[in-house]
Amino acid sequence: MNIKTLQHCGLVVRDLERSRWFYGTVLGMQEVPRPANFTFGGAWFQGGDSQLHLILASDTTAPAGFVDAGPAKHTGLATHLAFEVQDLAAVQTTLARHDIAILGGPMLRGDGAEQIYLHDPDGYLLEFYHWTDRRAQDAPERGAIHA
Amino acid sequence: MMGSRPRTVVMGGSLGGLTAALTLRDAGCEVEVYERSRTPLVGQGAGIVLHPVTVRYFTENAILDISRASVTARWVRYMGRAGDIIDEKRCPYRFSSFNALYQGLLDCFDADRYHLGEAIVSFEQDDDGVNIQCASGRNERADLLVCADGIRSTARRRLQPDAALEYAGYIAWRGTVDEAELGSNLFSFLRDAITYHIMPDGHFLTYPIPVVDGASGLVHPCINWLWYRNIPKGPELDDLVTDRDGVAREASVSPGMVQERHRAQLLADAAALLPPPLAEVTRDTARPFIQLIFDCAVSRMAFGRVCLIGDAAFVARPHAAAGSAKAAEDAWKLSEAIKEANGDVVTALRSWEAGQLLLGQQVLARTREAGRRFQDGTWPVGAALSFGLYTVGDSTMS
Repeated sequence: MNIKTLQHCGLVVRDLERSRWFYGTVLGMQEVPRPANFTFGGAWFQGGDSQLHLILASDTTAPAGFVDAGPAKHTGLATHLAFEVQDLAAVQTTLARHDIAILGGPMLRGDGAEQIYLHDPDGYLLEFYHWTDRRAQDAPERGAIHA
Repeated sequence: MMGSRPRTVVMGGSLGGLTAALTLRDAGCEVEVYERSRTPLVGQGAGIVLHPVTVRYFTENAILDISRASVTARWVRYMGRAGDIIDEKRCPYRFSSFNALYQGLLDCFDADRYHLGEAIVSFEQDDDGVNIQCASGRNERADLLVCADGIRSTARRRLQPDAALEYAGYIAWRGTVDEAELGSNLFSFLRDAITYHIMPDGHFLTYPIPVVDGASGLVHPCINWLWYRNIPKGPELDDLVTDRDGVAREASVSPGMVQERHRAQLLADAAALLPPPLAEVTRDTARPFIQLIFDCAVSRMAFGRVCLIGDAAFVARPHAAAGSAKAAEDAWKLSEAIKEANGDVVTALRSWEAGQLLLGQQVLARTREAGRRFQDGTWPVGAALSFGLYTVGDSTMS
């Protein structure tokens, strides 16, 4: 097997309009058409080469959102989706304008990436990162999280 | 003694954070300091013009003899193009160094409450407290979080993401030289003065700073120098801040990391443009380094139980010599407000904020104006220096 890429993530969401606002308006992802044979509620979004496939919770038996990770969500030690962006500060400004709280960061990962964590409206843990020239020794130790 | 002992976390263990930690501890708070660096901080030869509040902790507690952590000079001098003295007045200032002040403050604080290698990556507050998460996995709950995490504050970026660092349009080449490197004639000439040279497009200054010998504890003076040069944003600046490893640095290029061809260009420019004694100072400095000059203003410093102090709030250009004084003043006023409010953190921060915002705005406005005149050639030779915290001249310490 030769995996080429993680092309999309499917997310079950409770409120399609709320998620359209978050992924489309706030994050600026492009909504793209779904196949015509998809008659259940949902929406697809494109950002770079990746897609998000939103699935309306009331049209499926699957629950929406990740389980809240507790303190570990602040440093990303939990199931999460990561988006690479050009400029993390611009993302933070946009998030602040929409009153969306940052759960962790900005912090260095140790390989030059600087990252933040936040929740989407359904409680999915999202990471945003950009590449910096900051050295590994500037990055804090990332240790185990205990409640 | 206050009714309650607010549990306090200080984010950042540099001069401002340590002053906050000490004054809040003495005011009755239970204080822990989290510093992201894994090793004790070392200033890169940075000189500090003292202000009474910068050393207020030492003087009020009679802990450290200021004369052992600072040096004086007799003259404020302006030097002409030929190296001649064109103006000379008595100097009412004392000069110290980051390392001397940091070590002095650190020695006053409880070693087991000063935590190195702890980077706070998240804080969330509710009605009763602040939850604080460190990258290391450590989490804490506090009544008060004081963010003193410096020029590139992550706390500021979380709380005021629109308050960006604005590049001022110039950089400082800087360094330190000792007597052996400089030769005793030039050394003793510069040792006794703060010396300015005003150019059409920048300025150069030198002043003595104390260097504390780690082994003997003896203080011997060095000459600290800065050459402020206008460099607009663009390819020239991008190239200059690219270090030996090809990494483009955002705020400074450390000693030893400046590219050799940039140092060579510096020395060539110094020979062509500076008075001969200052060109020699530049040439005799083995490891000059580069600092970019920034402005930054916030619109708030108090956020419920969380506050920004010092450079984490306002970043001002160095011309008032007020950076460390402003941080210390923010810290002292904070501890006084906490005492005044009998440990009620939210009330204390609310009453503290207005005066510190005003102070930050004033220092910023004053240093912007001084910087403009120093960098466009309109600073009058012989003019009194712009040093001061609340007003010019209040940092006199003879």
